[in-house]
Amino acid sequence: MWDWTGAKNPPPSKVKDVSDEEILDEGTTPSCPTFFGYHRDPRIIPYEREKTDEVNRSKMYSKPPEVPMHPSFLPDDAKLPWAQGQGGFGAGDYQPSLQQEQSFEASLKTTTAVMQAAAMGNDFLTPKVVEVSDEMGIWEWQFSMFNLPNMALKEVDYISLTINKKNELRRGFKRARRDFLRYIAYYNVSELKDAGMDERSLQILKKGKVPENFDVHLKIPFEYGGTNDFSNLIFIQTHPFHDDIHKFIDMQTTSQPFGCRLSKLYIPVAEGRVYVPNDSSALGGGKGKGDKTSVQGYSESALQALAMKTIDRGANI
Amino acid sequence: MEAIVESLKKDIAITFDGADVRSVKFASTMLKNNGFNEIPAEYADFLKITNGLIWNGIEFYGSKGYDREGKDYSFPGIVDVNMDFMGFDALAGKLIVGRAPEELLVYAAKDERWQCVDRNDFMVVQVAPTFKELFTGFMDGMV
Repeated sequence: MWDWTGAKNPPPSKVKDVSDEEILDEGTTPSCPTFFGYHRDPRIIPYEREKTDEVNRSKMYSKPPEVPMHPSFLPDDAKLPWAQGQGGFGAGDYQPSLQQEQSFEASLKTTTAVMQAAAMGNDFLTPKVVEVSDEMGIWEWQFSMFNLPNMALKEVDYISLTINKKNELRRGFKRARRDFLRYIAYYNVSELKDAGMDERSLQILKKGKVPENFDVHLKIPFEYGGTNDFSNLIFIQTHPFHDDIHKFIDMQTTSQPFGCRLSKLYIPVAEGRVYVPNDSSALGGGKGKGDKTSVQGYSESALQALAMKTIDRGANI
Repeated sequence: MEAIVESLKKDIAITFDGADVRSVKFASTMLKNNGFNEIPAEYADFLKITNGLIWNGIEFYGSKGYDREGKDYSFPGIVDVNMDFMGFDALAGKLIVGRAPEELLVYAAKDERWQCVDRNDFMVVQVAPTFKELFTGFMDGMV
């Protein structure tokens, strides 16, 4: 190693064991000098494996951790002062048998209360999940009644999310939405034009905002495995298509008591980042496909008006 | 509120003429007759500034709907929207006043609170004591 001090004699090299010992005494890692401001004590903390036999384990878990309970969730006689005479904050001794004996209505009431509390920031709930048998056929039939062209039904499974995680995803969605809009404004221009966007609308998109009657939709909801990845977002017309997707989902979810989640959901999903209801993949014509460029950019009502004018002109001639 | 609406109008917001008292009263009566809550006074005041608002994917419904002919769609009124959600247990006692991406904006008459609920499971995700706070909070989040 080069001696940068300029000394004629090289510094005395330390024996490895001595050097390690010094480091341990200083409580500093060899690779990280103290002036970096980062210290780590590498000394091994004596660790003795716990003897967790059955007796000890039962002692450890005989009582659940006490969770503060909001007065609105307590019975009326225990409201004020908070849980007076009932052991302070909420729970007394843990009595699982009582919970098992609760009626369905009572448990539903509790679930709702807990979920509402969770919405306010507490993080201790698990929503009741209702098992769903394979009903793809029924929902496909229902789906055929909806006017959602170029979409297919996708079966998704419920995944349990803590409320904090869900809130984090929700906050992330607002940022992702803005970035997504800017992204498609530059990289999906042809699809946007197919969807009816004009130059002014493209300028709005470039600012990260949506033009009138358009929105960004989460293809798969967070609680069914969806993320804020661009592949899970789609730019879609609000009325009627975005509304209709949610109406279709509502048909499934609202059949259950409030607060429950279905183990499976059938969701209309379109491919790509921009939803184009009319298939414009054959705009340039081609073998066996008509050339549709002449009607590109016109809405159906505009085309109807054009047809009527043509008929009128024919009548005049 | 007027200043906020004006500033949104300068951006990309679509606003409408203010609602007259009779129009708001008529919508309120329609809602009441169908088992919904009446339009709260605070929201009625907002409708007097603009009878509906569309901005950046957020919609606030007016006392009546509009045919947006140039855009080829109909912007629904508050009565139509609430009728669509009639019989939803999760929205019982709540009046839908607007929507945002993947959310609904409602007034919970029982608690006298303005809420933002998830569009899929209708769980409350945000609560505001006044309409103005809900409105400004939302707009800030979407800028």
